[in-house]
Amino acid sequence: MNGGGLLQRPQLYSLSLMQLAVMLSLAPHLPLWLLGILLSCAGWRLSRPRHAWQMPPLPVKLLLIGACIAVFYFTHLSLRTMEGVVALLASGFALKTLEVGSRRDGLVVIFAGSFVLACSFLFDQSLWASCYVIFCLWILLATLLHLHQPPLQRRSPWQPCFSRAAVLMAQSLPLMVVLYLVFPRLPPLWTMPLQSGQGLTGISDRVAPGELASLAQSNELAFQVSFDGAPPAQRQLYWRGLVLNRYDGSAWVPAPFPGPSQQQQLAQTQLRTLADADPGQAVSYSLIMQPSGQRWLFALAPAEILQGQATVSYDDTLQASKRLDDTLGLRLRSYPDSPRDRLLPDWLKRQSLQLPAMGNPRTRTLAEQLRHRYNDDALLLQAAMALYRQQPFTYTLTPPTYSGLNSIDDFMFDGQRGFCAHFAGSLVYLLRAAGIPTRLVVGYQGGEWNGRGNFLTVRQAEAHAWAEAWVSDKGWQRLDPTAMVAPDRIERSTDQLADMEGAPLLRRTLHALPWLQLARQQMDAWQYAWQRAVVNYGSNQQFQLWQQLQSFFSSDWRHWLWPLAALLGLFTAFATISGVWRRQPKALEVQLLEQLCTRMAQRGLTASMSMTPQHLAQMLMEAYPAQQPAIDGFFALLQQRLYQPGQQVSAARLRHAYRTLIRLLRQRPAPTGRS
Amino acid sequence: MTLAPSSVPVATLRDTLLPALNQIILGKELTLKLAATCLLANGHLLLEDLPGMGKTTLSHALAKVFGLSYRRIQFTSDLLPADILGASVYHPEQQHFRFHPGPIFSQVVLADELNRATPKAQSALLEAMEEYQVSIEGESWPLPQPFFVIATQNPQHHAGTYPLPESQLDRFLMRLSLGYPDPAAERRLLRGDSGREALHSLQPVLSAEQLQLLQQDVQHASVSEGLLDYVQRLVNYTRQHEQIELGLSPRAAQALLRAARSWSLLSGRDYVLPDDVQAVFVAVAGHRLHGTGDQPGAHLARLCLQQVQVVA
Repeated sequence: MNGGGLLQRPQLYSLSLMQLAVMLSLAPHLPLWLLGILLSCAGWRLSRPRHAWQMPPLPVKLLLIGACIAVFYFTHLSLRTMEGVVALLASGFALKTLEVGSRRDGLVVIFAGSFVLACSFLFDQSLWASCYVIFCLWILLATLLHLHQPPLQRRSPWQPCFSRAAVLMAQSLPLMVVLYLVFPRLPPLWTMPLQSGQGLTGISDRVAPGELASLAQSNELAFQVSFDGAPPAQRQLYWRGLVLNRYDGSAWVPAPFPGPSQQQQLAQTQLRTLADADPGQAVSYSLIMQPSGQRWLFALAPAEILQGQATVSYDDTLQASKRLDDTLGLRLRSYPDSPRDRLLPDWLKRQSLQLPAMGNPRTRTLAEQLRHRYNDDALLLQAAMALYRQQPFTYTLTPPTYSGLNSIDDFMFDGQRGFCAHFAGSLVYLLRAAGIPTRLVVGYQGGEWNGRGNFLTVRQAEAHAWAEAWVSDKGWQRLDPTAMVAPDRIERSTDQLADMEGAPLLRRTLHALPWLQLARQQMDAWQYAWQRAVVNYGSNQQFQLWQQLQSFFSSDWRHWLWPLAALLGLFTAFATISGVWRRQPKALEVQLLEQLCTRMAQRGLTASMSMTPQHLAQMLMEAYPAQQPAIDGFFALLQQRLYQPGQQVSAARLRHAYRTLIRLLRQRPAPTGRS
Repeated sequence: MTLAPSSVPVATLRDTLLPALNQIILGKELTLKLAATCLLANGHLLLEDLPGMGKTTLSHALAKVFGLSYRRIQFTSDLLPADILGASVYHPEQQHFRFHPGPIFSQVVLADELNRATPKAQSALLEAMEEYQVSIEGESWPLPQPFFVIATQNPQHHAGTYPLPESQLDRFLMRLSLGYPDPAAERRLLRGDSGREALHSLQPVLSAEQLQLLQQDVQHASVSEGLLDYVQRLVNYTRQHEQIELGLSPRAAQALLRAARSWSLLSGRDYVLPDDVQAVFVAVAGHRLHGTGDQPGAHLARLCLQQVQVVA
């Protein structure tokens, strides 16, 4: 093969357009200069014929590759991350445009394009991204068809290829569905980390006052939940994520993980926690976590895991068995408001009382006063919470910054403006100073209920921090000082707090336009359904499907006879309507000529139905000179029957002449010297 | 075979007329046969070629072989209708106007470089072609019979040309182009084996009356249902093809069948085969098809032939 001929201008245009579409699928995840490379390469290639430029020689190509690698180096794109590798692939894909000349080059670009397109799923598997990929695939197929048009139609436009490609894709749809359902889900042979920290938002394991505020501006999805029964009330939806048990003087961080003996102690209390749970309060739900690049998960505590690769930790938080670089589906059962850890091991108690030796004297004094006044822990907690209601605290997403050694004092007594992290952090500090084991919990509160799809969407804006204090014999009690200061924040979702100070413009707009909100809910519902049904379909679901099918077919044959009969009936109706059996039988001459054409094609003679019978006869005679009488016999009869009015040739005679001809042709070897 | 009224056997046509033409223009058997077909089908012929390809020689030879009178009109940008049709001139001694017939009053008219004239002059000729008569100052003057126009035109992109509109192109049954001769024919040409000298010694094969009889025979060549199906499939295909803006009109379909009948007669048959349709299709349809892009009509016509099933 000599490359299949040079590509024409329209074909080069369609190739470049296809490349642009494919690159755009990666555009949100990769640096934009890659698009620039593609555009300049394609521009150069397309204007090459006009200016009679030469093909780039090898040194120039090497130089360009070197330049690309240099840009990689200077923009800190590591080749050890997925982003780096895909960016390298994409830059090669773009540079290839420079040397496209023959059809074979075009095919290389198309095949590379389909691989690059598949790579976009590494970054985004949402419904919209998938729709775009299918759109790109359509363009890709149309380009492939365009490149394969016969030379006569070379100059024909690209558009007709699109309808053909659409038909091809529609035809392959059933096969795609079947393969998706039954093809084994193999675990990856190797994995590549995504570029760390980039493109991933969410809660971090270090909460300094003022940190969750940036999240409150983010509309990014955190996770979605669908409940088996009715959803719990909004104010009960405290999605616990992380327990931060240690204050280092400026920020709250997780305590070091407990040692083996401590874990053993814990195992016993843990068992008791769920034993205390009231089965009547159980709430079962499915959860789809968005990739966060972290291992922690979010649940209503205490929770047990029904399905999913995760474990429950000692502080009733959930940990995934591997980092969330991908979406993760879980099934959980929670018992909200049932007591947790009625007994607290000493080391954990000590840990929950830790404070830096220095700092915040005014808060410590306040704690001492409280302790002095209330002997009972429960009363002290009530009093502390009352403080937040009585004092002139203001909930705002744009508080002043409190820093330094006495940041909590500054907030409690001077600034008094802040949001959940400030309130919860100061409360934990106050209670610890008063001698009550307390910890800071970070997670999400509430969520947006989507009535169309019956699921709850929790976005980053719902990020929240609250406190948990341990009261002897009652276990951990949830204390949310934010609810004292701004009850609205808890009763309604942040989404509805549109008039709030510092709320982002987008959310205020959404609030002002109900139809927009409705449209967004509908889109979310579709996206969620896609996520649950398609993206989350893994080996577990596959196994369940097989089991269902097996039990279906192994049951009474009458069960599946009816669906089968119905299916057959439907097919018959469809076939009748679409005229599969209404087609008129072909005329005898047409049948014979079509058979003859097929036979000639098998023998390497390029025969088609657009040739006249005389032409076909001539071809046969050149290939089989010895069979001239038989060839003449058949074609003379055919010609008389078809074109000579007044000549009567019976079907039997024609058929007989045809059989004679075929028999004689079969006896002779295939012709040589002609193709 | 029953060729009723003509006194000329078809074999004469095949065996004397075409070889005589082939002596004048070398190596163009198919084109010459198409030109003769066009004349037999009583249609006008448009020759599109570069200068010096033998357009004039061809038309002159056709006139001679068929025994017809011949006139040539050189079209220029200052040509007036009266220069073609003729004019009434006042004769003072007889004190009345007398009509002086123009060069169009001839059996074969060569309209050389038709597209160099203004549309006004062009339409004077084209009207005469359609009506077979000339009307001047309320009086009609019939043109001699048979009447046959061979127009030549330079390729469209040459400077100083007025392209013919579609409606006028439609009046020509066929468009042909001779093209360069093959090397062997050119060698013979250079040796002086043919050319204008041979023209003078060319003897008529037919008389004008015989030609008219033959033109009637063309109408009698029989056409089967299967062949009409093929013609209709072809015509429909040109109307539906996405690359063709203007498909073939019903008049064009009639012209196609007339040309095919004429070709079958020249091939010595009294019934039409699909081969006859295919042989004349590019010449008949090429100038009537307009593509959506810049594809030439002849290319589109060939495309149609390759796509449409002959028997279905």
